[in-house]
Amino acid sequence: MSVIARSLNMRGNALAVAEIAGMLRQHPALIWEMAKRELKDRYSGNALGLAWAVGAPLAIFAANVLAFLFIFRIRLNPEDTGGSYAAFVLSGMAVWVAIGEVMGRAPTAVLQSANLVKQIVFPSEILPLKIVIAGLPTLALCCGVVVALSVAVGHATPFGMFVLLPICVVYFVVMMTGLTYVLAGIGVFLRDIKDVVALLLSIGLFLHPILYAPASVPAWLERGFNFSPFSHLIWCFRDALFEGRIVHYASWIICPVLAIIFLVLGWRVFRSLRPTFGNAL
Amino acid sequence: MTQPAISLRSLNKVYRVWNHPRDLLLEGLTGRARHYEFQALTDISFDVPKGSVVGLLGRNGAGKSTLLRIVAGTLDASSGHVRTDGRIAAILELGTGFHPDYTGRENVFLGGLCLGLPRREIERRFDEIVDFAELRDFIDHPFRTYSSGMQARLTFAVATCVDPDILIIDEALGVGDARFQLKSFDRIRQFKERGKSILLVSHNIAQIVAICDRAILLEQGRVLEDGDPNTVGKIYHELLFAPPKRREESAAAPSLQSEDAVDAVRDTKGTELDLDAGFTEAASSETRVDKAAPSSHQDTRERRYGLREIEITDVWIENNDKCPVKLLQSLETYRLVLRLRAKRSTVGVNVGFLVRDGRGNEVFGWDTASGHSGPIPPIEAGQLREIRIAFRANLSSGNFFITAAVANPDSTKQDVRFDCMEFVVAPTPSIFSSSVVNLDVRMLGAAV
Repeated sequence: MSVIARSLNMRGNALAVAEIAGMLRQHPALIWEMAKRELKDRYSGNALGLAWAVGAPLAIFAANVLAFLFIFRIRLNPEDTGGSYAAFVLSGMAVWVAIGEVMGRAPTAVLQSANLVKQIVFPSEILPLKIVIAGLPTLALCCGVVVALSVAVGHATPFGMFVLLPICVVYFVVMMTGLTYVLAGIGVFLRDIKDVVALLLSIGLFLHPILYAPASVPAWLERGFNFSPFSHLIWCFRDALFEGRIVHYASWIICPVLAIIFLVLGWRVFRSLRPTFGNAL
Repeated sequence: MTQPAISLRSLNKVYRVWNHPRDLLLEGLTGRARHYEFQALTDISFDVPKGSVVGLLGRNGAGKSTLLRIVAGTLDASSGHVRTDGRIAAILELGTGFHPDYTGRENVFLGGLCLGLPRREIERRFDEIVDFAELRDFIDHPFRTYSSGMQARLTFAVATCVDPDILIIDEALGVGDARFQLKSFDRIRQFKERGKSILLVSHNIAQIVAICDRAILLEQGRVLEDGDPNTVGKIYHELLFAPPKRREESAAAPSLQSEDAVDAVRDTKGTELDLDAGFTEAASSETRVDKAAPSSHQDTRERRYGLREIEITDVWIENNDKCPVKLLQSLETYRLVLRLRAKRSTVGVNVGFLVRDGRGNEVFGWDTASGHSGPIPPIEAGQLREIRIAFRANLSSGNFFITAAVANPDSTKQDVRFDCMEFVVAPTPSIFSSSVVNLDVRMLGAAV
């Protein structure tokens, strides 16, 4: 199929990388300003303001800890008093909340700024990027909570926190940016995308290696996890935050490869759709 | 200076319309077309040279905004070439790129960044922008609390301060008050003098005539006219108010140069509804009833349209001794005479006239519909009638043009003769020569 042939066109892919670098060099002030505004817009209109940014992820954390630790009484192993399992679950959930934050807004990244795209000559490729950047404070907050918990239960290592975690964040940014470009581009034309994404995000919590203790997962589901790119991202974050060492070797390879493929193809999809945005907005 | 700032070559724009988003998805998946197409622009070609101001005229839906958006680069063309030379700033709507909840100050920065200015540069020009927009007291209030005139001022100030090579304006100038409009015109003039180009859309013919070097009339996505703003403005006026039948036919005329377009319309219509009164005189003598009557001056400025069931055969001005005159003395009283001829019996019609100065500015207008007299009595088929309207020439010296019109009570134009007669008002030494009207002043003395 021509789509596959085009995506394998390496010159096109190299050009995409050059274009991305060019955009970052050309508009650093605008990107920064737009991301700041995005965050401000999200919370400044609400009565509680920034409390939402902090409170919402913490509430999700608390609800899950309550359900699985105190109601279902799941433990990782006989010695576990509950703290280990909490750190285990939240190390996966931290990145999942951040993924949800970014992916949930990705389909409307261009739509919500229709006035910019439609009316002026605006570098619209900045819009998906600002969504990803605006998701980083959430990721930082969630990871911070998990690091604290992990240290408390004696799981965290300096290697995990200072070497693996920064790498994980880079993986996260690159992979999310790529996916956001695709979703934002298609979302202009197919408005259902945002509902589809919302649905997948709420189902996805149960289809990814987040809540389940390794011993309790059936082999077929364990294999199934591998098909989602998010699983690898989750495993990487879990290695960094909970294990403190590399456990999922394959994921540390697969994650960056997927992230770069997503970024390049996402950019190319977005660029090919961009000239036609004006028709749909 | 050799290369034009904007160059369009056989530009087409086809909008694809899907009735339901589902159709778009199915088309994407199956590859079978499930949309219908709407041709918004057809074969548009023109150049905008550097240092010129070009106005776009056209009725609603004629494709003006689509064209501007394609030139500005926010919309893709379906085929054809667009070449632009230099930085473009576009004001396509009020508050372009502005966020209603941000303050004016924040919006100036955001708008400037969006237009590609570095932050430091915006800081440097900030005061100039605020002073131009005259919003110093409001700059820290949210944009949404601004009046539409204030919004227009800030938008215009930001868009023009980035010093673009090409400025595109879509009806944004109409919103500001007269003072700001003057300021905007001044800035546009400065732009022009520095060799920048401006492409603007306005529904205000007078505005187009006042500031444009050239006007382009779009109709149903085609260039109908391209030329002198005054001429194009008249054709646009005709397009707006001519009866629907005529309108379709003028729309069907392909894009041609000014004279050709008139010819084309004439060809489709035969001699019955001629545009050009000069032609009428030559070809269809039956419209000339009374050759002996003081013939109205048939100068080349005249444009004519209407149903012509009832016609204005002659227009002249006479003095109180009923002698036709061309040279009027300021503040004297005269009579404007319209000779009407009915081709078929009519119900009461309204008559009116308009006085315009040499630059096309409307100086005075009056008709029986808005006056107290009401419609003139019915005229039998084949009958002639002369309408006399007394007036005082409160005009200063100069050349003026009379536009005479007859219309049905529902405003359907029967016969409109644009600038069909020229008259001259003799010099009036007591007032400034730049005056247009004569207010007949009297000095009452200097009270303490």
